[in-house]
Amino acid sequence: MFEFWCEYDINPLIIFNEKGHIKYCNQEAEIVLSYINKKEIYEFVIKNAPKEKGIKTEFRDVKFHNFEFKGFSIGYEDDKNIGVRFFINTNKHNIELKELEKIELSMLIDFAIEYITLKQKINIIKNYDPSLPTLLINKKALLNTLFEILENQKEAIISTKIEIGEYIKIKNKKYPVIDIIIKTDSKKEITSPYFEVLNNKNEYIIKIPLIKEIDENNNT
Amino acid sequence: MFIAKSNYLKKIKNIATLAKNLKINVYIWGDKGVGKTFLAKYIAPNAIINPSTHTINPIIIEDFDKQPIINFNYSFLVATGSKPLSKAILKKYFNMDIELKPLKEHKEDIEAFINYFINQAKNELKIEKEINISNPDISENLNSLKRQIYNLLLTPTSKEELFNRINLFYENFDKEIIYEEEINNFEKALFSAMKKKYKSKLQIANHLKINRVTLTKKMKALNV
Repeated sequence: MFEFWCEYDINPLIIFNEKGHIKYCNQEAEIVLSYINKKEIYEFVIKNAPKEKGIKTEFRDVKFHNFEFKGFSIGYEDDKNIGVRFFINTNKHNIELKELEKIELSMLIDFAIEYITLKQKINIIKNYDPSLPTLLINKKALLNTLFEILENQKEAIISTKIEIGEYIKIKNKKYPVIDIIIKTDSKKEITSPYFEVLNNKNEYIIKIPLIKEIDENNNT
Repeated sequence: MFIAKSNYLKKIKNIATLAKNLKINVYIWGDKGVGKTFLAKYIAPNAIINPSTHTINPIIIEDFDKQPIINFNYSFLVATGSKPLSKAILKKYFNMDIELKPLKEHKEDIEAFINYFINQAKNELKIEKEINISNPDISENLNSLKRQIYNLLLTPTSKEELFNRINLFYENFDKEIIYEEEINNFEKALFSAMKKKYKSKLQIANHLKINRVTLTKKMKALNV
């Protein structure tokens, strides 16, 4: 009975046996495990396991490559199985979908680059994912975010890619994610009500929901 | 035809082409005659210029900086003006602004514009005449350059053509004319041109076959 609820939980749940093999993982964990080596997670689990039997919960940022979690629970009842449940970052779902227009993303980024290089001296290297489809986007908001990031920078490397297996949930709809990764000086704090913007060390990542149709309802 | 020889105008052309394809609301500003309306029409070729009510077509609004308000809905807006807009107004109506710099800041383009205007003028005026622009007038950017070319093409090349023009002028001139004043005007124009051409009074006197003392007196009297 409880397995159904575990299976569809939005937080990844993984149970390892004493040899570090996966005994169970839910759907969200499957996505995580397709990107992160299970050994890496197992080592994290062992390192952070409670000293006594039971559950230990911590709320702190945990990062495995591109996956970021806001905390985790690690627990065990016997010496044979140990489980971990990571808490996803729920802040990123408060994104507004407004003034969407069908746009070719690479063209819009090219436009931002042309414009910013007219106004200032900046060296930009581009590396776009050629498979990006035309998508619905708030072009004004994205241009403003790009201008804000690139303003007063001396150099930047801009790349785009579809984050396979990663989704953004907006108003109960689930959308695949396109990342615009801008490697540059990241001292400025950039935020946007229309996109999730990660302010990492020496890079910004703008996470864009891949919406192809206005009435798209992708709940699966 | 978008003329762009300098890297600067090539870049403007690229931005304008992308803005056109992406339908980006643009505010274009710059001095008189830099080509603001031309650029606006390039970005929004089917636009209605200065409409007063809502239209489904793209719109171009000129001198937007003088009255930066739009009271109706629009789908795609390009506007022009002579001054930059405040950040708040710019953000309200546009995605970006483009400053079109004066010709003196991208001189590499002048020759191409001269050739373009000469061909345009010859075609429009049906005149087959070779002209040479050694001192391009870019005081009012493309406006003054175009005026200079048209003027030069329309300048009479023979005395007969010149006096025909003068004849035509006096025929249609309906104000009082005083003989002495008109003769003085003619002499003044003649001496000024000769002064420019021959530099010294001795040379002018020799060429015009006039006494040098008489010439000096006349030039002084006419304030040449």
